[in-house]
Amino acid sequence: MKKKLVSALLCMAMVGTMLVGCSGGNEGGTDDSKSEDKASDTEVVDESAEVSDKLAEEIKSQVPDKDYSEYTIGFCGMTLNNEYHIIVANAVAQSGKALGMKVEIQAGAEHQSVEEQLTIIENYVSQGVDGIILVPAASEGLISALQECKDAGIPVINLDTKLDDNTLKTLGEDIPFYGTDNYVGGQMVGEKVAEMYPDGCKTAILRGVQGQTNDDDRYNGFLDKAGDVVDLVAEQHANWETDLGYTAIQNIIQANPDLQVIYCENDLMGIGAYQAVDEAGLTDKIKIFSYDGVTEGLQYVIDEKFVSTCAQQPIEMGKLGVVNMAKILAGDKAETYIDTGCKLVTIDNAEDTLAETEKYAAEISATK
Amino acid sequence: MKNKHNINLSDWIIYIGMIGIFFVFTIICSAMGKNFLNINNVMNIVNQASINAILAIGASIVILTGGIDLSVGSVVGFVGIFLAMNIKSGMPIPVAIILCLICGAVIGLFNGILISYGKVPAFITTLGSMQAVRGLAQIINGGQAVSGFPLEIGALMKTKFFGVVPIGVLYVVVFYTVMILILSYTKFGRGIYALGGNSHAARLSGIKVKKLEVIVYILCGMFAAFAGVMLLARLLYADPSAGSSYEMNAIAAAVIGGISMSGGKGKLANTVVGAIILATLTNGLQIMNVATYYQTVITGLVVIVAVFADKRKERKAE
Repeated sequence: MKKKLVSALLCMAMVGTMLVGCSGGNEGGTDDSKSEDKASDTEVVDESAEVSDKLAEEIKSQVPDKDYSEYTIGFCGMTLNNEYHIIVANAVAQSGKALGMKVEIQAGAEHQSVEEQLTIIENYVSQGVDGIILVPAASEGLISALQECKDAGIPVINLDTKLDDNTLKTLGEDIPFYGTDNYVGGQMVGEKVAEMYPDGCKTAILRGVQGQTNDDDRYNGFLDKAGDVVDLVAEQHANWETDLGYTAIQNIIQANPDLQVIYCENDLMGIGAYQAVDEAGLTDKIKIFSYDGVTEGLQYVIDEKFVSTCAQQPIEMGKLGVVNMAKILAGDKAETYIDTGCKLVTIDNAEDTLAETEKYAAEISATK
Repeated sequence: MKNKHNINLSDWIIYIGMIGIFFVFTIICSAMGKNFLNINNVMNIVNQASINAILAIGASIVILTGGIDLSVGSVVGFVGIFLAMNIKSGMPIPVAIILCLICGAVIGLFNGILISYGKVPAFITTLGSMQAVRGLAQIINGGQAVSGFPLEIGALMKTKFFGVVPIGVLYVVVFYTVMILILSYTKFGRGIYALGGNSHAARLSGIKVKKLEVIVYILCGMFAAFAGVMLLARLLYADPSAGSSYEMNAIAAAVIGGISMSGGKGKLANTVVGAIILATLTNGLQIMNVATYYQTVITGLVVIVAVFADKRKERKAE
């Protein structure tokens, strides 16, 4: 009897926790039932946080004078399970709040959740949001959702990962894009490798999700500058994930024990790659060049586990998205394209960049 | 006599398949000038298979009872974050690991009670807990990854015996040996087969079916939690999305190993071979530098072929 009681209590406790976890996200407002299972993602962005005066001033100074409190914008992120995308989402949420707008935050569960993004956008359209800020999970495949936005007259702004030209052509509309030119970022890494290994080197590349423009650009940019120098012995798609990067590098090292350079298209795969190289005891021989500049990636550069990483400006993207959405809502024209730039972070500037990122992140997650 | 010979062959078919795959890869790789078949790479493969192999124990015993557990991948992700946060805050590693195993057990208990006493289909229950647990993994650290914890935890996966045998192999050997013995020689083990074969008959023969089912899900949750500890020790980086779709790999390993999805039939010893076959495919294809998406196709086809070959016996009987 006692046992049964205990198990019943444990069971109730479990159900309780899960219910709390699942219902918390609905405070944001008009989520419908379909988005309920994504409620955990909404939790990530602290909507109750107040915006710092500095940020409010900065955002307000860039937009036409107007009362924006009537407007709701929907942010559809690629995912909210890594720092980079959380920063973009936070930047959008905080900047929107600075203008008094209501901002809803939803994202796919994983990097390649195109169908989930379709659902999210459709929900936004049926809720009648005033604008949508989108970080697409794939550069193609969102046409039908974008078409719905167009039909409903809802403006869309594209951040971070660019929708591909064919999609835009099919849609017959130019969607403003603010993000890093990943091709240029790839070129920076390529130049660095070419400079360090003028006589060539055996190189492996860990790529992201096939079909995303980010992946192609980071890859092609790299090869544009380093293609003549490097001897590309292996390339694998590790889908931006740490564990897949780890396994792939273990196997690549097995096939190419004389490997010298690994170029990872994001820091998460880079972390996995480093663990594999470290386990093989080859950290002296194999150098890792990474990309993204999340805090852990920067820390890896400081610890000399990465030679470099290529930092982007996720906060800048989020701010620009909201500022330009406000311009559209006020009847002005938005900027059609802004390159938010990226910089190569090496041991020389890693500590400064890390401090800056943390400061920015602190600013954006705001004073309570 | 002839009949007996047939049964023997189908019992060994998975081993023949595994050796066949090794054989093919060895030939192709050596033709390409790559080194596939050596002790280092074999250990590499077993090590890469180890996490999935541990998960597959849970998947196998659950499937043997006629159920399924889809939540294990989420448990891996949750445990990784939970463990990393705990040891970062200074909790001694053994205590933190025990806490993780308790978490796994509680999630298993939750699944088991709903399935056995609540009569909710296993697929639905664990589909729900898969999402809920993944959500919890994101909530407990605000969706952020955890790093900067004491790296001593790495010893749990990075230790090597005699310079070649990774510790992951030890976990596989120990857990499989124990579980195989339990399944073959205890009342509990025979109960699992009886339940999966015919739950009504099992109940009539005096087996406490519901209690048994709950224990099976608790064990499955604990194996998943242990796999989560292993993954963290390997990567030294806890990501809330870690372990996604691991449940499918675990089920695939069990199915390749000949565990029948309808329950009651199959050998746990073959599950580990299933896990090794899956890891071998990834390993060999990546050594050959085959484009990633072809790897997925090839792996999928192998799963189907394996089950097809395994069912030969049943089809003949019909």
